[in-house]
Amino acid sequence: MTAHYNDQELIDRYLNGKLTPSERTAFEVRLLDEPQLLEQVQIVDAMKSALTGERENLPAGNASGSGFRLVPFGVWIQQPLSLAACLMMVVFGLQLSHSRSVGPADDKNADAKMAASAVQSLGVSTLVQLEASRGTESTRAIGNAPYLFKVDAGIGNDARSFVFTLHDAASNSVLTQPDLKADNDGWVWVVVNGQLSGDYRATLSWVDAGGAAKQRDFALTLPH
Amino acid sequence: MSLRLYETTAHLATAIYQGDKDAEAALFERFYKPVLYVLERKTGDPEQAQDLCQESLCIMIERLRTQPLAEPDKLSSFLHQIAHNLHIAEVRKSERRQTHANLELLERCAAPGQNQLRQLLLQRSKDAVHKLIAALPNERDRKLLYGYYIEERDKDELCAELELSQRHFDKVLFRAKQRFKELVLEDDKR
Repeated sequence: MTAHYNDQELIDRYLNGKLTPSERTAFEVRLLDEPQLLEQVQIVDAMKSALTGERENLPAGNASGSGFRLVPFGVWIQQPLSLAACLMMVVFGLQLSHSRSVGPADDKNADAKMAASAVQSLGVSTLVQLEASRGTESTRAIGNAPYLFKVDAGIGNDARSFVFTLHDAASNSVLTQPDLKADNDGWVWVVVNGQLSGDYRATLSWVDAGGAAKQRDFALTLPH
Repeated sequence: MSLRLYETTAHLATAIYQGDKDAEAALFERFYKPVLYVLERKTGDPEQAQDLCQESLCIMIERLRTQPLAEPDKLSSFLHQIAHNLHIAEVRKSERRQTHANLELLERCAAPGQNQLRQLLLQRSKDAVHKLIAALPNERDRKLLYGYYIEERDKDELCAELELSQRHFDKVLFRAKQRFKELVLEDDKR
């Protein structure tokens, strides 16, 4: 799937009849102009139709009656053990992306040792997750440096590299980090060593497959 | 004939006005599939969509032969408007404007190529979605697909009900679509 993440939602809304008339017209004109987008729409359309045919194999109804409880990430992450586990995983991911040669990929014991080693060596204290779905709402983060920023580049964003910048409330540049990669889930990871407090604007920028410059802005607040 | 001869749709529009017959065929080839798809969505009737699609393209070409577009780079918008208007006229059961001498044009233009993806989707979607459902890791993801694509419920509502972040919701959908596409195309390689 090469269509941009935002297009994925647009495709779903088009097929579910949730676009306004003007949005639908604009989208259909794009379908005439963009063969790749048309292909994505045809695929999702076919999947939707086939799912309807298989509806007896899909459970309907409310999740609360399913006999298990799902804990939202926001709640889960506040638990000390979850935070530790999450940090282990993300730092491990960082290490994997930068050091493929360390240990065989399928050796779980080696992976666990490397993860533990990575947590110790980086000494990450706070995870800051910046999600695009928050819109302009500021993300509040509590904790001390070093920070591990987990920045939402969009699922399926396969840009070659990203630039992460951080500006304070007075628009002074605090950090610029080029040449970043996104993982398979569309997250870009950045370690920030300096202590942060107050309001910030984080920006992730990249160039898409069509050569157009794109960026996402995130508001961030760390209590003084 | 190659579409590459006409770098943009604006070039295509200009070439048709200048009497380039290959450009007419190129326009037909370039826009047949997307216009047909959009009209199928509007009409829900493949045969009627095909008729309206051919008529839309013929009207477009005849218009370009006689008068250049004020904004040739907006050819797609213009064509969409023609298709939309024809559909509205059809819905209202009003008498549609009949184009003439289109047979000559249709015969000269290469028959629109078989849409291979479309054929694959028609033939293999059922099996692919069956495998997709079987491979989903948990019941929650099945509920998500059911709620979103079959019941067409809102994302916010489903996220709240299934206690999912919007990011996670998007991820489940993205992976499902990706897997579905792989399953359809994978079969083609066998």
